[in-house]
Amino acid sequence: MKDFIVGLVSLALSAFVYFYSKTFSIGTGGLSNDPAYYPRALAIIMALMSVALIVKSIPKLKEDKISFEAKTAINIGKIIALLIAYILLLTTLGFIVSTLLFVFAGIMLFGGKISTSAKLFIPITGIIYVIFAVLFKMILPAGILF
Amino acid sequence: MQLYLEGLSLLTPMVLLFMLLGTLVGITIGALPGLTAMMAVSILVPMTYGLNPTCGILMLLGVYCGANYGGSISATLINIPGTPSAVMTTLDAYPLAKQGKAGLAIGMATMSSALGGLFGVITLTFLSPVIAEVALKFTSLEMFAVAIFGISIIAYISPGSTLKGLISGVFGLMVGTMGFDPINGVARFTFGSMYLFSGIQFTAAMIGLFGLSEVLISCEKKFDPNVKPDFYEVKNPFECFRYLKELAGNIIRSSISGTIVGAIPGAGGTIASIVAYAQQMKMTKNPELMGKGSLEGIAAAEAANNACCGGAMTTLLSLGIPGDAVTAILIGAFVVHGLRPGPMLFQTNFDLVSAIFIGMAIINVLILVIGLCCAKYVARLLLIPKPIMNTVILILCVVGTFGIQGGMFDVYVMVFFAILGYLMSKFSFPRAPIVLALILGPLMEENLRRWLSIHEGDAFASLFRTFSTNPISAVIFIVTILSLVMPLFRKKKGKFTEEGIKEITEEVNG
Repeated sequence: MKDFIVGLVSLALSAFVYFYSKTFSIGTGGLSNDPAYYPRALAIIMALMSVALIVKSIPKLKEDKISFEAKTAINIGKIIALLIAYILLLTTLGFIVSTLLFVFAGIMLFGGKISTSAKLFIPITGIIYVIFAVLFKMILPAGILF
Repeated sequence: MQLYLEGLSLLTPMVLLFMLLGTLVGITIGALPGLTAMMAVSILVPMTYGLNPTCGILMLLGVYCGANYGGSISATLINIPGTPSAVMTTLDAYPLAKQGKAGLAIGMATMSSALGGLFGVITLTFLSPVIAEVALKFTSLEMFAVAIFGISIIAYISPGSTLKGLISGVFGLMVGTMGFDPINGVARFTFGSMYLFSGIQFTAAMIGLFGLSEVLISCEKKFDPNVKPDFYEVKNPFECFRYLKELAGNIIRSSISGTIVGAIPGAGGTIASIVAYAQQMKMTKNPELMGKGSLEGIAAAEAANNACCGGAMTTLLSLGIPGDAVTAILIGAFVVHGLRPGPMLFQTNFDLVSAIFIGMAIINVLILVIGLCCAKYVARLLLIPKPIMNTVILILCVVGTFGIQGGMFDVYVMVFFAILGYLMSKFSFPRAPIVLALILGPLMEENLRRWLSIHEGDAFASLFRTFSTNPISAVIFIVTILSLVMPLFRKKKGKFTEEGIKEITEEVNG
């Protein structure tokens, strides 16, 4: 089942690449001059392999089902949502504030206790800041605060 | 002789300090499952911008070599390889730990890693200048041949299914076409976005694919603060020296295999340790002990995975082509300082190359000392609760990616690849081929098209003419075809076939 889905997705992707390549093709020149030639060749190769994968997976269609647990999916979803929120906040609130908030929320989201979050969010942010901004002299995202 | 001593002048106390730091960080990262050398090196490369080139590159080399060793610590104590290259070490180190000999196992892993690593460095030092001389005469055809050979290795690095590995690789090749066409500068697959003009940032994709996605994967198991992992005491690792004489042959053999595997573009520490372990199984006088606590197994696997570093660096420095995934990311460290690994580096930055030779030797000595004295302290880090670890890793991934170009676009690319990596792992799709394809793909396309446009019209005739005057490319093509065809003839049963390796990796990853 897993392989079947992957086969279909890669077949769709190769079709997309093949047809989208037309937008930048110069029409002539073969492999050496036409920028679309190489991506299209890759698309054909991938299409052939996708078909082979689909065919190989048909006898095993009933097995190999994707174990989909709603709880896990929601958990992963929450983590990605928190991560995106952190990334968006970075440019508005700056590194220090966003990281403080992220560490606090993150530890709890990953299963830790609120007391652990409360004890550690300042030291962790501090250590990371010192290592990156001071030791490695990296420029970290700055926001309206600092 | 001059080549070997020039570098001494670059090894200032600052450089030595960063080398020590890098080695410590590498061993720690290696020891923590979920953190890999690839992730660490990806995140640290942009940070070396503020350091001088020798400092930055040697620090990263410390991380690289240290991580290849560090994986053996968690492999021994909690039966989880800290990095993929320690997969074979778990087979013998953990049973030894259960027998109360964790110290001996770790000592053996440390000693073998250091000796294997030193062997790799010796090969690097004496072989790379020779190869670089030859490579100076390489034309686009030879570069294309080497690149396509590296890509063909994808067929070997995909436990479970060569077909899925190849699809993954072709996907990587496709992603590599995004951005400006190398020959006529036409924008391909940029979807109107100016951020995509230079294509997908390799480091951002790597951090997402192998760093962030690992965090997502590890979050599938709910963290229970009341469960403490089984933990074995590390007593007297120095005992390993007693066995040095009887294991010398094993270590030398495994180092040779490791160096050769490392030198092959694309193949890295994991394959090196598997090949060496398989080899030792055939040569051992006690086959029944292998897999149940045999020191030979640990010695073979660890010597090979560290010798691999020297081999991979040989290919990187002399040809400019990465010997494995981590060295692919290391190219970034050179580029950040306006340098380019390859035969020209030996002409223009003689002293840096020499510093790398000497530095890597020192790093392996550091691994020996740190490993024997501090492994038990590093091991304590295994007790850090997952929630804290994961939160910190996420921040490191974001900061590291931001540091590449100072822009948030790369961070979005990283998140995209992280989700992709997570999905690929759910669907049992190998991610490693994408790394090779992203680096070798553009190299392959550019050289092939350049060669074709020079020999427009009489490509085949030119090809045969080249083969007869300079057979290097012909040899490489033949080896490539063989390597693509060989998996079809691999035995279907047994420990070291596709199925066998897949089982071992799944068993060990839980």
